Amino acid sequence: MHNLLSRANSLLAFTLWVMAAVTAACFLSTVFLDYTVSNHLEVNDIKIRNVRDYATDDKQADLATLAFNLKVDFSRLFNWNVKQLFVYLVAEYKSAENAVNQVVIWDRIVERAERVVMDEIGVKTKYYFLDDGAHLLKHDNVTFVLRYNVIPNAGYLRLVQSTNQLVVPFPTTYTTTRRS
Amino acid sequence: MDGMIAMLPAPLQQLSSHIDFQGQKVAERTYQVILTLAGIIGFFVGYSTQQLSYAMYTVMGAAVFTALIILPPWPFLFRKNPIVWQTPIEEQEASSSSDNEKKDKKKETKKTK
Repeated sequence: MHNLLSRANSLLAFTLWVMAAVTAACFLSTVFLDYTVSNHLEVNDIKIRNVRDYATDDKQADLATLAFNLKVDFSRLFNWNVKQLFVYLVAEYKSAENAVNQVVIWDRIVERAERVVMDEIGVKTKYYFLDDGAHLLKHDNVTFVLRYNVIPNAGYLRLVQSTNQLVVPFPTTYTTTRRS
Repeated sequence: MDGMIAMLPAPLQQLSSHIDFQGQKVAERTYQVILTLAGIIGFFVGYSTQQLSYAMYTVMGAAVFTALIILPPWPFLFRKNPIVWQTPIEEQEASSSSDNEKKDKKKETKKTK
């Protein structure tokens, strides 16, 4: 504290302490909040094709294509400790080979400054919905779940599941036409 | 650092930023109080606006304000209690004067040669 640089050093160090304390207080003020929202999801135009899966074991596998409408209001979530959301749609089902299959078919980053009320109509899947066998045909319980990571300014990466989930029975016949 | 200061030209060396001991204590207490208050105010600013950046700007603004107060060695704040050093004792003066006498003698001898 005796000369200029020493005082500047002490001041900077203490300023950083205060900023860290404010950030920690911000985290504590938001850690017990409820981050779940409900959604309105409709899945339609489901088609299943039986294709050869060259990538893995060269067997015939079920490839599903679909379109969905999604309506979610995320505006409630964006408090001062939320930077952005990573929203993704998962299809979950049980098959003879695996007790749990989770396929991410669509995702989107929702930033705070952008439009946070989502009303998407006729969205096609972003990633292939490909089974590792031929289990999708006639499947009576494929569940679509909306999950999102909450990316905070301070704290941990929270994973939240939206309250609604949609159970869809899959078609009983293969589609043989080309993908549109 | 002192070595670097010693290399500066003499007029710059006159700009000393040193403050006395009592001043150091006051300066330290000053920044602790101001920044802690700014942190508390900043938290409520950020909470009410729901913007963490506003809380950070409050703290950073307070830091700049505090820097204006404590960084310059204000004479009316931090230099009011200078250290009073003891005056040199008499004996040293006597010996130094005798040294001068010796030197004078040497000079005289050189002149005679």
